[in-house]
Amino acid sequence: MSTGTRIFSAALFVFAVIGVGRFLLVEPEPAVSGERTEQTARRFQSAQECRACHQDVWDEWYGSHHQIAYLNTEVRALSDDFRNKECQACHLPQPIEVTGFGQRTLPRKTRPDEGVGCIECHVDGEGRVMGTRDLPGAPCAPRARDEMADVVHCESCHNQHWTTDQWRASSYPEKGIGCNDCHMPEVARQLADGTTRKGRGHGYAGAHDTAMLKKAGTFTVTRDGAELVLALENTGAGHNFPTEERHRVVDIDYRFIAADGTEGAWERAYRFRQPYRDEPGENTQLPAGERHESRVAIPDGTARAEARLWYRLKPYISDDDPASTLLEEREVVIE
Amino acid sequence: MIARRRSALTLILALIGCAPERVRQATEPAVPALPPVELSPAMPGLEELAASAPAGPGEERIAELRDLFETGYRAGYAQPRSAAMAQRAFAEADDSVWALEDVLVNHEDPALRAQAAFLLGQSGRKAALPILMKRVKYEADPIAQSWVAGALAALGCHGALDQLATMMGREDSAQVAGSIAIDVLRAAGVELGETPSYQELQDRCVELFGAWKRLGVVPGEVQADGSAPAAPAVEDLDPLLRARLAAHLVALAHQPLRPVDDCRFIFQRVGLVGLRLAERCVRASEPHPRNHGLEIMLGLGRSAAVVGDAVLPLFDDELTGSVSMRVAGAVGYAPALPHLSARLGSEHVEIRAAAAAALGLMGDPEALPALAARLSDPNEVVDVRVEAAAAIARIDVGRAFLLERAQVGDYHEPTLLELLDGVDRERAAARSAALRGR
Ligand code: HEC
Ligand code: HEC
Ligand code: HEC
Ligand code: HEC
Ligand code: HEC
Repeated sequence: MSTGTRIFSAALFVFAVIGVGRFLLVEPEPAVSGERTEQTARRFQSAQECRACHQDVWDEWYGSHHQIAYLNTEVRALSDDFRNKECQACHLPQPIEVTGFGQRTLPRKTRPDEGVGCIECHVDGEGRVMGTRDLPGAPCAPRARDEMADVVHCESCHNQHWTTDQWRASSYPEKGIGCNDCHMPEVARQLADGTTRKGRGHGYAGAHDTAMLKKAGTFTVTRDGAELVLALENTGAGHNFPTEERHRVVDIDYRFIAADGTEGAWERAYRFRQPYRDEPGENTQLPAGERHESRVAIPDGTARAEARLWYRLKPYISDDDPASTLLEEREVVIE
Repeated sequence: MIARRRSALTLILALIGCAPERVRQATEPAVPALPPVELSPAMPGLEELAASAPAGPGEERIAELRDLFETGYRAGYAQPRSAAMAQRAFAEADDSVWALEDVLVNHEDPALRAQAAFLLGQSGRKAALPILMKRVKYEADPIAQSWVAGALAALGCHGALDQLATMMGREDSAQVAGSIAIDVLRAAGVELGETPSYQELQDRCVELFGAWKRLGVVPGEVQADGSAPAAPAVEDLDPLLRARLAAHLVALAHQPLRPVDDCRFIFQRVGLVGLRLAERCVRASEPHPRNHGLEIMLGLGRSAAVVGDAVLPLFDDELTGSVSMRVAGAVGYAPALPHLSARLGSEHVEIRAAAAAALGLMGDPEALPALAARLSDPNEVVDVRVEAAAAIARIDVGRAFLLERAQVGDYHEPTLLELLDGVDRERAAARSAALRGR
């Protein structure tokens, strides 16, 4: 079976299962020669249409922060329920190809539940699907666009707080590691004929994913004479740690426990954060590949020291707050 | 084998009666052509205007005036005699308004901000409008906020009277806000009883605010036929006011979000004085300012009627076509009607939804059959059906007729109001039942 017929039978199978008239807008016969003409191209308008054939991708995306971008209560609270219209440009955008890859986006007013969805990332101004390779025989006929696998794809929305610039300034570009290499892990996609091909996860794990957060840094706590040395190295994030939103915080906290068992209070050794615009202070986010070290004098009579690495979605919350995530815990025996 | 499959598909195609989009296009009447798009860069001109602001006194002088102001007005700060002298000296300085603006924005004492607002209102300085209006957005002290709203009114801008009404509803500011409201209402020619209740004052303020949103001018400037006068030309604005307004529009070209929101806040409340400048953004070739300019007009509604001519050519613009159509509806631009109806059959969801919304805003009952067709088409996407339904609810000729009677006053008013209340109560009840049922 040639690729063309395989894909075609996959599509036919889908038609049979779904049996909905709208899919028949697709040119029924895949062009075996690899050519498709303009007028036979179907205009895609909603992620629901993609779901019909890409349920697996849909399942990954659905519930992700891209999908909830316009529903997210955190965003709604801060944007006065999107009466701050300029928040809509990224949280409910028009397809990025329309405004241009890497350019600022413009808002749309329909499909509130799709936030940043299949259409916004994959569909061009003519309503056609863009992918990383040409597959003219597939029912959605994806066409290769270099930008799809490139950082510019994410830049339109993710450089407001300089995440893309941070990546550019790191050693990752030279190593050929882009956003998708970390944020779209490889997955196996089952095709209709039972074979599989390599796909990319669409869950976009980030700051709400503990496993992802744990990958970002290497936390070490050691004793150097009369000092406790607390160090964090950004070994796993392709940009600052933390990055993006100014709310985001990484804290190193510690406390000393005396020989008689008395527990000292938790103190903060260091806070990594970009302050709000109207707050004093410098940006202390930890750039990719860099290491930061804090030294604290060990009081006399200390038996051991404890240290914790926290990630907080918001700056002024307690350790018990669900938006605080304990990433690492260390103990150093002093004597 | 392929041939067989194809014929099966052709059969199914025939059975389901072809695609809805195609049917729609085939039955459409000929669509009139749109006027040509004429966009040009707006930012260079606005930047130039922003930079043309007449220079104020230097920082040192402002600091000096600020000291004088503090001595004069800060409670318990100076001996009464020195305070009185400082007040006089401040009042006599012809550049003291600059210090008032500085205090209003930067002083940590809300009582001084309130005092500065009051004096700015008395100064007649129109150029203070954008500064006062931005303050409305950020002022956290309810008493200072009441004075800011009062100052704006004293300068001929009713764009913060909703805030004054809100401040009357707060225990800590009700009294101050109430007495400011009495002055504002009397100045606007509103008749009040001897001892008006807070409720009455609040209601009148909200009404005046509504009239301001509709017309963009205070009642005294409304023309004999009830319409607003022409918006002043950019050239005729006070140069400092013009420069300050232009500076806010320049922010629309840039990414940081707060200045963009400030700009929109100011232009949606400041009335006709800002209209011609904001219109330049609607005609801008730069897409982001154009989009924001259109969003401003959407918020302004009928008082921005003059932009109708500017938005019609944009209907087919890939970037701002749909928001342009919504603006045409919001400002009530009648020549857009055939174009809007035609676009109910567009192949773009965004455009069909915008066409439905705009026709609803327009309130033209002639659009009802076409909207009903969108609503009842089971193949139509839900976004469009929702907008069509909302449009139909808005056009709702019956309710409009009752409202019109109430406005014209040719039918027993209490009866009309009772009927309208009944309609609205039923709707509200249906709404909460729908929400509870989820
Ligand atoms: C009628 C079924 C159908 C619909 C609808 C559909 N696709 Fe596809 N798509 C396929 C099939 C079949 C393939 C080829 C097999 C595969 O790679 O999964 C494919 C391939 C792709 C590819 C390329 C995968 C690769 O291996 O390079 C992308 C990207 C894609 N689709 C995106 C979309 C998006 C986005 C939408 C909605 C706008 C969509 N598709 C709608 C059936 C469909
Ligand atoms: C230029 C694009 C862009 C604009 C405009 C924008 N955002 Fe975002 N926003 C993002 C991106 C990208 C993220 C994801 C990164 C992150 O979570 O830090 C995000 C995340 C957020 C989050 C965190 C959500 C969570 O669950 O933690 C909040 C809150 C938020 N935005 C609020 C706003 C508000 C309020 C506005 C308007 C004032 C706004 N955004 C405008 C791009 C944008
Ligand atoms: C059209 C705008 C847009 C584009 C393009 C875009 N994003 Fe996002 N992204 C957002 C917004 C908005 C959010 C946050 C939504 C929210 O939390 O409400 C987000 C969230 C995320 C998150 C999750 C953050 C978290 O804390 O959970 C990751 C990771 C992410 N994006 C990565 C990417 C990558 C990688 C790309 C490029 C392939 C990309 N995004 C393209 C707008 C965009
Ligand atoms: C935030 C942008 C974004 C969103 C949202 C998004 N995609 Fe993708 N998608 C990408 C990128 C980027 C790639 C290419 C990744 C690569 O190969 O580097 C991709 C790859 C794919 C592929 C081929 C690889 C694979 O995993 O099979 C398919 C199919 C696909 N997307 C379908 C969809 C569908 C369906 C949706 C909606 C449910 C969707 N995408 C939503 C950005 C996005
Ligand atoms: C080497 C792997 C790696 C690369 C490359 C990478 N990231 Fe990340 N990213 C991470 C890790 C780990 C985290 C979690 C820690 C953090 O928030 O910094 C993360 C977090 C995020 C978040 C969530 C931030 C928040 O506050 O919600 C966003 C958004 C994001 N990355 C976007 C991007 C974009 C855009 C690129 C490309 C310019 C990129 N990432 C490249 C590993 C990577």
